[in-house]
Amino acid sequence: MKTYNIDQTLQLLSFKVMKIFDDCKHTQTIDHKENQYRDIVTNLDLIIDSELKNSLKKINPNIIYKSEESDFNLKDFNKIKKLLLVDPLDGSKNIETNLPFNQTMISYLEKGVVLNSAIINPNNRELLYYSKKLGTSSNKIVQKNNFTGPVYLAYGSTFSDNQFLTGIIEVINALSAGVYRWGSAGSGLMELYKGNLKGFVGKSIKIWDAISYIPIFEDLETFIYHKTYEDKLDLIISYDEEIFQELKKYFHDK
Amino acid sequence: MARALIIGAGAIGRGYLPWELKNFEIDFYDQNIDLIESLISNNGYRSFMSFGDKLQELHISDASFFSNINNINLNSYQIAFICIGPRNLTHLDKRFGELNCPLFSLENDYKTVDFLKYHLAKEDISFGVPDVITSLTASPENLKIDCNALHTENGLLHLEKNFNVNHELMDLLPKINWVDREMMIKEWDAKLYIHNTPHCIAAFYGHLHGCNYVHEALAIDEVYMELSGVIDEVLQTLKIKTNHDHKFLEWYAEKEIARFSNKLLFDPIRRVGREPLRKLAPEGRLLGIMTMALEAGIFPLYLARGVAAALKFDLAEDPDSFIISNIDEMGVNSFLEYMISLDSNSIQAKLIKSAYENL
Repeated sequence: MKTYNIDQTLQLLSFKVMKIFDDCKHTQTIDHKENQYRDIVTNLDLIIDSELKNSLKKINPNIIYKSEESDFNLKDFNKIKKLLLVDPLDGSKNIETNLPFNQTMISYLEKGVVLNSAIINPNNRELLYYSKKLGTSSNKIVQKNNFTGPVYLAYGSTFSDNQFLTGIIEVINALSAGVYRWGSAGSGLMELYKGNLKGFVGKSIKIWDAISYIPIFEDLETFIYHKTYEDKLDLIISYDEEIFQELKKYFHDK
Repeated sequence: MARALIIGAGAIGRGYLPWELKNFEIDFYDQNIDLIESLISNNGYRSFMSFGDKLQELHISDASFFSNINNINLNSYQIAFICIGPRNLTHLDKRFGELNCPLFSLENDYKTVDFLKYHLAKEDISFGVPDVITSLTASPENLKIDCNALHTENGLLHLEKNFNVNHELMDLLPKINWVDREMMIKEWDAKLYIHNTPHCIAAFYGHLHGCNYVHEALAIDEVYMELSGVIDEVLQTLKIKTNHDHKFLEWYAEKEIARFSNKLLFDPIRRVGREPLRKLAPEGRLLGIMTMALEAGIFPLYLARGVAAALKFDLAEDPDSFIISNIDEMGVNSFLEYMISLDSNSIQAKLIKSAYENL
């Protein structure tokens, strides 16, 4: 049987996701099962999840698979020797609302450290790969510098500290072109990577919503702060030091 | 004696340029340490140029070979050339910007000049078109004599003439065709589309037929017919879409099949077809001319089949082989959209998909 290194494994998995997106574009078979008001699970989530899980089993059975739709218990995830952590479809609600903000994020971690990631954005046909060995690469993404744009704000569906959120919005409004949100943290990070945003703030978001991007932004030498607890992640990234420091201070003070 | 620096000791750099630089002492720079060590330990190498059905030998025995830029005196040259492959330009050592002589990019893409000006922070960089087929290897007999030998055509080097090229330099390079920018674009159109398009398609078909060299592919009637069709579509397109002299275009097109069929060149399929994804760039030699053909009212059936053949160029050693060999995993639509930025509903895509299914 053919063997694949980890770079090839993630590439191959991303190819399979691309095919599913294309098939679903033509067959229009997306329906959904709601489990919460905000978090919905579409059939597409489940199809992608099942394909990735089964493919990984065939390609590289030594890697443990966890995802938003499968084994989502992330307790002690940073002790697992080889882990593939997947968000099959970030922005599922946008499928229902026909908004072009969703993507698949695949991360390969060794003891909690992301060594590889693959991000597939079916809306603009964008691919973004990270490899500890080879660095960041993309198919056609053009990056630009942005020090004046808005800041994307993401927060977990169970996070309910409205006072905290109000405070963050005040900081963002004071130092940027304002708050942007479109129901997909991953899409916010993609636009930040492209330079269409000034920064990203995630409070109590799920680890798989953003972890793929962390080494990519570390490579870019942006200002970045992240903290994980249980299956949650706090994340601040910006190209601008002033807003980064203000947001970080706000997180620490609160 | 005047000195020339050749950055990139591959086919064009090693095989062809020394024939044009007989009035120069030549230094070669290449990152491939094994190659440089081999060239040094063998006291140079041999390049064989085809003249009709004969090969003439040039023994490059007095050149210097470097893999470390620190050992090169960048102030000692009258002219320099870059021929390392377009994908490698981003890794080119920025210190080459310290060269104080004219530098020519022979990288098959006019845009590389702008990139190099930015990357090297150097202004006097111009474009060149080596209108020549040069193999990266040689016949088995000549490889026995010299493991680094290469075969080349007797080609023509077109170099952009601008303010930094003086008469003294031009006198040292009597065979060079010095042309202004406008003429260079004309030569470039001709080479990119009439030469490079069918040349790489010949390699893709050659791979499908299990050939090792381009001339072997041309010996297959079916391939010969396909390439004739490709050249015809390209020629008609350029006649309609450009202001180039029709006689020049026809003259250029007519000689192409004979060039590809040259049995003395031993031009490997793996070299000519390498990096098919780069060749499938939206405005490049394959998709670019397909779009131009449609704009000209020409239905590019032969070109579409040529592109489909590119999608089967799954040579294991090629840098693009992982993507190409997994097209079925991602689906052709996804390949077209993600990998080569082609709308899967476009006419070009429909032609390519149909050809791919039938190939």
